[in-house]
Amino acid sequence: MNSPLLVPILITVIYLTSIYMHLAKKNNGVAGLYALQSVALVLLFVSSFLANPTVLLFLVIVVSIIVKVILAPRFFNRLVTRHKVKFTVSSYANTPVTLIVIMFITAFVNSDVFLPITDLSASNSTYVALAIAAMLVSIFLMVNRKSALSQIVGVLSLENSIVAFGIIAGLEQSALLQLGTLFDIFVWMLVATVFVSMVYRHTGSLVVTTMRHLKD
Amino acid sequence: MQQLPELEVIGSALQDNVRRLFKGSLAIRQIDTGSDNATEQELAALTNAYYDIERFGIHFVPSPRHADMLLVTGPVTRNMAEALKRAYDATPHPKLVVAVGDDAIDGGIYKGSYAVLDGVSQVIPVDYQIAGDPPSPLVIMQSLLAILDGAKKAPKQKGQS
Amino acid sequence: MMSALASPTMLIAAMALFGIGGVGAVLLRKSDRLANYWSSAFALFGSVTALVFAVSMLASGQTFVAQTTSDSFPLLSFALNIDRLAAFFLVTISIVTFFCSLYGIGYIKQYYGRYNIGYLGFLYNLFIVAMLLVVTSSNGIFFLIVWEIMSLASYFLVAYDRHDPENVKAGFLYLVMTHIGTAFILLAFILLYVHTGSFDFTVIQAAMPTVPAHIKDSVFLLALIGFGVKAGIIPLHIWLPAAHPAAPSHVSAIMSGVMIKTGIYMMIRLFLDVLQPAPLWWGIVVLVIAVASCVLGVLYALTEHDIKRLLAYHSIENIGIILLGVGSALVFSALGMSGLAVLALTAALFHTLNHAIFKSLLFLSAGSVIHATGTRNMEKYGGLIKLMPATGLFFLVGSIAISALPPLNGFFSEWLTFQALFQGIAQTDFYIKWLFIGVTAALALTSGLAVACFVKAFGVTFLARPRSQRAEKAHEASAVMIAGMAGLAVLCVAVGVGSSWIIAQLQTIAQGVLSAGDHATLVTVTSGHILSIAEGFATVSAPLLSLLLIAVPLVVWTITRFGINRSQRVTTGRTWDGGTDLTSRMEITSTGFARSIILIFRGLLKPSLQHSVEYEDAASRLIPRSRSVTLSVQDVYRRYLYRPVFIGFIHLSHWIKNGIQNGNINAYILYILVVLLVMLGLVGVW
Repeated sequence: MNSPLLVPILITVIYLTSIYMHLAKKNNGVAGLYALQSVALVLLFVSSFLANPTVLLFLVIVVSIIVKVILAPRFFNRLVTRHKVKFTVSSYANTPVTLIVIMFITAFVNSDVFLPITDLSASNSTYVALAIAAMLVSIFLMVNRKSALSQIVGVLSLENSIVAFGIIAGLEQSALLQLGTLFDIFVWMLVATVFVSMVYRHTGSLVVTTMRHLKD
Repeated sequence: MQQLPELEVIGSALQDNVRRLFKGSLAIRQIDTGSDNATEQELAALTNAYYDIERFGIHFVPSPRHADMLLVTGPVTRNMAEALKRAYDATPHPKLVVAVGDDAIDGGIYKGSYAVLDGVSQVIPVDYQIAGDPPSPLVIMQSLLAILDGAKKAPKQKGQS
Repeated sequence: MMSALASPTMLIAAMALFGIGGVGAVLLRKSDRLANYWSSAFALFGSVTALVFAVSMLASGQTFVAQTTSDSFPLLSFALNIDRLAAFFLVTISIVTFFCSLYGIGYIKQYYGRYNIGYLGFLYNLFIVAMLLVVTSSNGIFFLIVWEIMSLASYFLVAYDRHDPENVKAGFLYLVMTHIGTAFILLAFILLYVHTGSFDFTVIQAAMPTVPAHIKDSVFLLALIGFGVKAGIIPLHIWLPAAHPAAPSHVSAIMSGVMIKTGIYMMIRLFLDVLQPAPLWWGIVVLVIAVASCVLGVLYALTEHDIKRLLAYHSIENIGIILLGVGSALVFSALGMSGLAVLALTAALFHTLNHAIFKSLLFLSAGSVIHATGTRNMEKYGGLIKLMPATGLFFLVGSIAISALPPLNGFFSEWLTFQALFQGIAQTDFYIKWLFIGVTAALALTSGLAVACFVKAFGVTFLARPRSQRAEKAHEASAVMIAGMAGLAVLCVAVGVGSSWIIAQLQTIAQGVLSAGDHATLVTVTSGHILSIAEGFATVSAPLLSLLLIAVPLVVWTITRFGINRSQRVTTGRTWDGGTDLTSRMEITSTGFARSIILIFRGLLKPSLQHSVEYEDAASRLIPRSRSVTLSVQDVYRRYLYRPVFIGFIHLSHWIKNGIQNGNINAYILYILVVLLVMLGLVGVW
């Protein structure tokens, strides 16, 4: 935390990208937003690395860039183009309602109710709250979007905000755990690719309501 | 209207006997064993407003269990023989069996028919007979009086029959 | 000598004998006959041992406490506490199981080749052991374990005759109901544990003053429902008329005779012992339930034509009578009248013993009838007294006892219950007085209806002529079965004649339970046999009464035979039938007998009368080919209580399936989000 200005900007970027994901109408746009969010996260890592340089953390930064900034959005874009689902983005709540819900979530997180959690890092309590809000907004993305692709992005965004929360709250997070998470995301992407392809072939759509037929 | 005094005379004599022998109440069960209903007509007449035999303490009862006397009519058809026997068995001791009408005494005009057994005495022991085809109500009452007079003279007989 | 018999070794020996009987039966299952003899014989030995142990415990007046604790399960301890109350229930159980095992030797034979006898023997012995442990345990968790073993063993026995789908259904209903009951009991014990820190009854009792009143009230209600299911109080009784007929008859005798009494035992133990002092309204609640159970129980019994269902409904009625005693004891002890409380509890205990004896006798003789005729439908019986005179006699003894006619045992316990209620009327103030007046009236109504019902049960079953071909070919029960029934019948008479002595013994038990001193006594036995309540308020002498009842008919008979009717002779002839042959169709049926009473109480019973006529020529409708009248009684509880709950559950399930569990991933994630927010919020609040 050597730069007092950088961290607020980055965490705000992460938060805002998770909001913009709600508003983006194209799946490619959502992927781009995710890439942007990942860049912000990597920069958070970098600032943390500058404060406490270790080899392992450097490794984490490199792998993060590879997996989160480059590989994941690319996989995502390939899925979109292959299945021609550029504009299948549709949500349950319309844009104003979505924004109101996001507003409420953010207000709730910043309220006194969350004091015990946001006080984990007393000096940065606003930013911790922002990271938690980003988490919840990401989950809300999964709730609100009908497309399975958006939900994948929601999970990834959730992961990003959790990592950001960890860094800002100063919780002990070993770099090995970070590497493990990244590897997990990598495998997860592969599985999701296969899974989405199969589901698409089966139902002709990636809207989760039509996946209900899979129950039977 | 000349018969009326005679009816009253027989009646009061009957009432005396009934009072003495049966403590004022003689219960009769009438059994039709295939009669031509002539005798039944006369027996039914006993209870009408003219004869009104019940005022002398004699009444017809629906069950042999309550009866002191069985009045059997008809020549006893084969089908009724068993029923007659059962009714006789069901009547408590001491009991009087009276065959009423010629049919009941020996078959009467049906005598010798393949369908009848020629009289009540062929099936159960008969104590008294009232002849006539059919006997008139007054004859029946006179005969009953005679029967009760006879029964009065031989009180020992009651327990044995 | 006495101390040797009263030592816990005897109890362990009894358990071991039952265990050998059960396990041996499984090992010998290849041979039906061996398995039967083995399991029944060891059940007999076990019962005798338990009986000797319990009687000598009672005689010596000592209390046996044993406890084993283990470190791995700190809350569970195999704690036994055999005080006089537990010993009394041990006596009751072992008497009934003894005669039922004896009867079982003969009764089980009908299952040879059809079912696994070893399995039956195992469950039977397990069932008895579990019952014995239920009344001796003094630790909540240990109690629940043996309670559950008892319930499961009896479930398997109910569903034993499994080729009849009705029995399997009945067993399932029993299983569901008994587990609902267990759930309530569990909650009660957990509540007690939370507030006293122990499952041990003595510790709970010691900690009782610190427990807040509303917790005690909740425990009371939970335990009342939980044990009420097992005891079969209305409206929790619905399993009882289904399950008791389904089980083999010697098992139904045990279930109806003693198993449902374990519910009563726990009510006495908890309400009158552990949870004391109790508020007044507990007793009033118990009294109200008792009145409902005894009046409705006997009314439903009247409507039944299945002989075992009829007996099962009478069990409900008698549980009601026992609970009248328990409820009055609760009321009296809440009002501080310890003498009256002792009297009421004595009545309850005495009726418990008596009901165990005569109800098992009735079930056993009903079992003989069912065995001989192959049906439980009373409309198909008739005239059995000529074909099976011994069974008929024993059923008559049981009927007289359950109808509370002197000099048999049922009379004395109901008399004592009445006396307790009369004392309640005499000695309490306005509101409670009227409560007792109402309760007394209800008990009087119940007694009258019970007589009517057993006139029907005995008359329709044993008198007149056989109404079916199976009934014509009925045969007397085998010797061991007769021996089992005879023993219980003799006990009915003996307990009745010796009632004053037994009541005096039971009174000390009741004093022990209520912690009332010797001075708290209203029942005194004067000159050896005259039982006197409240210093001459009411007196009865069982031996004198019996003597009178034997002497008066004897004298009358002698005078008529040798005095008045000296010269008359008796002839035996056939029944006067008006010339038409009498057939069994002319007899009064059980439905016909009960019809008038059912119609009087149609507001409660909601009967439905159906006439159906089949015509020779449907177009002209002149000559009927057959007419039938069906009088049936609705199951009000299923319809108005259980069915709505059931339908509600179905709706809830549909709603969960279609509303919540809808297969939409978004919705599931939403639930996660909402729960997360709520949990985080709760973390903030706390």
